[in-house]
Amino acid sequence: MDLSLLGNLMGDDQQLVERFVAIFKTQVPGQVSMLPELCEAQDWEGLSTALHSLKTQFNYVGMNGFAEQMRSLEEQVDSGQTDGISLQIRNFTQEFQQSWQP
Amino acid sequence: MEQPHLLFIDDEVQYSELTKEYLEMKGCRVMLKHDGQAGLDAFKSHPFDLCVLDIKMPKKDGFTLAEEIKQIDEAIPIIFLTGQSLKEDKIRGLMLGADDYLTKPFSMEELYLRIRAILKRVKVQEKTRVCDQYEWGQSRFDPELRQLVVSGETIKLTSIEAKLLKLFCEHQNKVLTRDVAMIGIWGDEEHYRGYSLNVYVSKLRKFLKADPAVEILNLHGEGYKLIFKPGVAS
Repeated sequence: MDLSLLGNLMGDDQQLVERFVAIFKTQVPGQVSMLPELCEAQDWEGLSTALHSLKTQFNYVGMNGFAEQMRSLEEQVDSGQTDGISLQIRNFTQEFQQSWQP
Repeated sequence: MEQPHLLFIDDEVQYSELTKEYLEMKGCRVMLKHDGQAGLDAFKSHPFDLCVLDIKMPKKDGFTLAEEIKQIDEAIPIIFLTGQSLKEDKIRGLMLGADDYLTKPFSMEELYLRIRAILKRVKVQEKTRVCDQYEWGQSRFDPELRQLVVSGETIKLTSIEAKLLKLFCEHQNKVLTRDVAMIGIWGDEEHYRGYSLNVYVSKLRKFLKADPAVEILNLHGEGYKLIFKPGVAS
């Protein structure tokens, strides 16, 4: 995590930054684990909204690689290119779980 | 505006909760909702000074929500939160009458400063309008003097009648929901006086009866609408 952007956005309020990170650590893994379910249910609107939300949250904490993956997946879903999306979501979910250290 | 009341709708729970706290620390009252439909419901039942709307949200997107909000209150200032470099979002937002937009990720201070700037501008406009009178058909209403003139007859309104008529004038040809009317008049939600509201609406109808250019409609389950009929003989 790179918290410099978050610090800037929050006016260098360290308490706010720490609270954000604590909430992030509690909630984001759950949100990521929802992605395959949304994909399986072919809830494209819900999937797009979830990817969009995760994209911004990864951006906030400087996890730019993940943010970029979310952006690309969101773009594919929004343009109706959902054929290979299931595999990509599964790969991302595995990558996230492997690299995630709460 | 001592403590502006903001409606903040954003589905990113983490950042929006902290932004709400930040804005409250700066002296704002903030109602936070996480989807478009909940936001619209909140807007229908409470008076707000400004709305901050995310664009991509579950249940109802920010653009649709803004359109529906503007149908209820055309003058309400709106700030959109847009995704990165989505120029078309910004253009669409401005076309819908947005007052400003912020690109995510946004700084809490910047949001606060923009809110403050817009509210300051609105306050100046309101100050100018305070001196204004409302005129239509054969009637003229001066909210300051609580004076209504209909077909040459002057009626001195009570404070509540004047407040209600002013709310109607501010929402002319738009829905004035019962909740907005009651909070606008009596303020405290615990002192809702639904029955009294009907009485005051009836009284205003009676006062305005002599003027064919104006009518207060009942909208079942929603509230009322004051219709000014352009072209009706003055």
